[in-house]
Amino acid sequence: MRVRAVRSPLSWRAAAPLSVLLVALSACGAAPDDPEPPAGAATSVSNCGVAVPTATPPARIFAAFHNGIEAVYALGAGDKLVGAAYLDNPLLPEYTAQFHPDQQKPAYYPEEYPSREEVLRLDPDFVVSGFTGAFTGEGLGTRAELRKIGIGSYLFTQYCPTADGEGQKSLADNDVSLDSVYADLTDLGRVLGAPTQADALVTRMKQTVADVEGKLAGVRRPRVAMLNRPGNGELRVFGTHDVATTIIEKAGGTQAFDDVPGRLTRIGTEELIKRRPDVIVVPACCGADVGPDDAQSVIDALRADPALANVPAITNNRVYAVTFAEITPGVRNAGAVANLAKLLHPERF
Amino acid sequence: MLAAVAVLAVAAAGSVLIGNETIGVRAALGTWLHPDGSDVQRIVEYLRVPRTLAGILAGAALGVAGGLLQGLTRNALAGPEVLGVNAGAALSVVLGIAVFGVDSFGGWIWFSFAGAAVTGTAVFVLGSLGRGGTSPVKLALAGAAATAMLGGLTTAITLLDLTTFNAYRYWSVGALTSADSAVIRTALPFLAVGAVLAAASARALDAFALGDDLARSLGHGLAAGRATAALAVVVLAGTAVALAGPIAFVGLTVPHMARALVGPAHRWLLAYSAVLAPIVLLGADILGRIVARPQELQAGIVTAIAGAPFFIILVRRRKLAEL
Repeated sequence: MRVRAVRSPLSWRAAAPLSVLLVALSACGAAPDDPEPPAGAATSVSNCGVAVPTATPPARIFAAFHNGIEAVYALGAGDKLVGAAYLDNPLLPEYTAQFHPDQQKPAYYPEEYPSREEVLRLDPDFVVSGFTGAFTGEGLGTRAELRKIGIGSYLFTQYCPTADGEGQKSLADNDVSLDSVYADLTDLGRVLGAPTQADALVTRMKQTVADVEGKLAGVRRPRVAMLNRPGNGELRVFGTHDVATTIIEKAGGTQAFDDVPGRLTRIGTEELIKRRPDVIVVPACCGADVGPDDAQSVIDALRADPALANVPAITNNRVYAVTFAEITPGVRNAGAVANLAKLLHPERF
Repeated sequence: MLAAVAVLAVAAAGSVLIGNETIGVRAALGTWLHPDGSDVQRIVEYLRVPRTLAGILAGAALGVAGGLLQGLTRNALAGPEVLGVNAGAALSVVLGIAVFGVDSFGGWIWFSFAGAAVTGTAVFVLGSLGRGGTSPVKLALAGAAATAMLGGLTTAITLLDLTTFNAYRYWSVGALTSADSAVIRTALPFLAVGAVLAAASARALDAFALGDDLARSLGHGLAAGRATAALAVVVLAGTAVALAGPIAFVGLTVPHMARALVGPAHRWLLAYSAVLAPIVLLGADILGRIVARPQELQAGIVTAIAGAPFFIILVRRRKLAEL
């Protein structure tokens, strides 16, 4: 067994949850409510406090993180993608035909984002990021800095830090509902010059989720622990203030770690025993070649751990693999809800 | 000595009983005598007991290694973490993982020994170069330089190859939870050898304390005694690092506590270090379980945070006493 199993984002993505330790569930239920402004009225969308113009769609896009890359493809702007950093799992099949890293279409960076210079060399006029950290001085530069050199930017709002991207401290206050995902895709669609495509995409996603909810009426909700175990060492759970919890709840489960905030928060084995989850879900990560099967070694180790033998999920053999990409805010979330609902409530499908 | 052992027993019992879920003495004993497959039994058997044993073994090894090094170098500031031995062992393990794909404790431990031995020797040679031969300050400086350089290399490798080192990063802080009972069984014979070597070198270390010339005139083989003690340090520190990661401050501080209790004779100094160090390490581990619930702090973080001020107090008090 190799030590590898899960790589980098689990470590440095975990930096974000560390800053989310303060519990402040204020964003629940505050859904954005202006889906359709009159045509031609708005010339920009507001994204994490930054006005992103919609008049001229970008021509050369750099996308960081799996969800950022797939959003660009889903919105029909794949031909404008000059650079892409970091896939957590294989691309969705419908996008693979456009993805040619061997021909630098786009230039692909498998391990985190490249250096600022490397990105500027690609001469992008727009950067989309699906996760925290890209728009910082240590990353690609703050959004204000990028703007000065004529590069626009969009950040998925669940990872909105302070307006210019300097601080990463207030993620706990962000809206992690699916509505925020829909709003992101709608806004990004406007920015990329594909408002109709965005609306159609969001409609499809809402339909998928509505279908699932229809089938789950009155269902008994199992306790779900979503976690990973990098290198079969420490356990790291996907807690509250994260779209993972939204997906668990929409799929007819309850979050077993409902008082543990953040993504990939470290917990001890004893804590998992104490929570007695009915189902354990392991999101496989990370790399363009890492499918759900790659979570198998983690699942096998959990099953073989004698300390966990009484955990209902282990006893009843209900440990499942999903992809990391689907539990990150983006185009896969509706499918993720359907996928998890089938695992939690097979009798309803 | 009996009192110290009693305190260690209390610490070990605390380590088994206190945690995420506090377990009663009776419940713990009951499940131990009549395994019933319950959560309590599983927690005790597969989590708390291995963790406690790892703490006792790694702690004792670090404490004795620190006492040996302080005697060996006649340097109050010596310890496996000060002379670069822990850092060398850790770098060696990282290289083992990165270059040779070693992924089991049985493999790590040899890399750990090799790293400890090479670094220890290099630091000693470096500290002995130049006029005047070995001096405590030169050794400490050489050790500090080596620790900085090796630590930097370790960080560089783990940052460059994030793929390989998720498990390592956890271990690198020092934690008692990475060792299971199989690992502990593998470590036991190595620690036994280290303990025998340490005991065998106690008299020679007492002689060194008088100075090289006097020791030689009393008929002690300096080279053989030094070599035995050095080998013991390599085996003990190497095993401890492989078991629990490069835990800081235990090897440095505990021998001072022991010295304050029983004086400078190495036979007792080392024996007390072996008992006191696990108390400190288990205490740190228990504290780490309580303060950040439902998360946990690794023992290595707690010893670093709590150990530094403690050490300063210790040094200041000793100074006062000497005045």
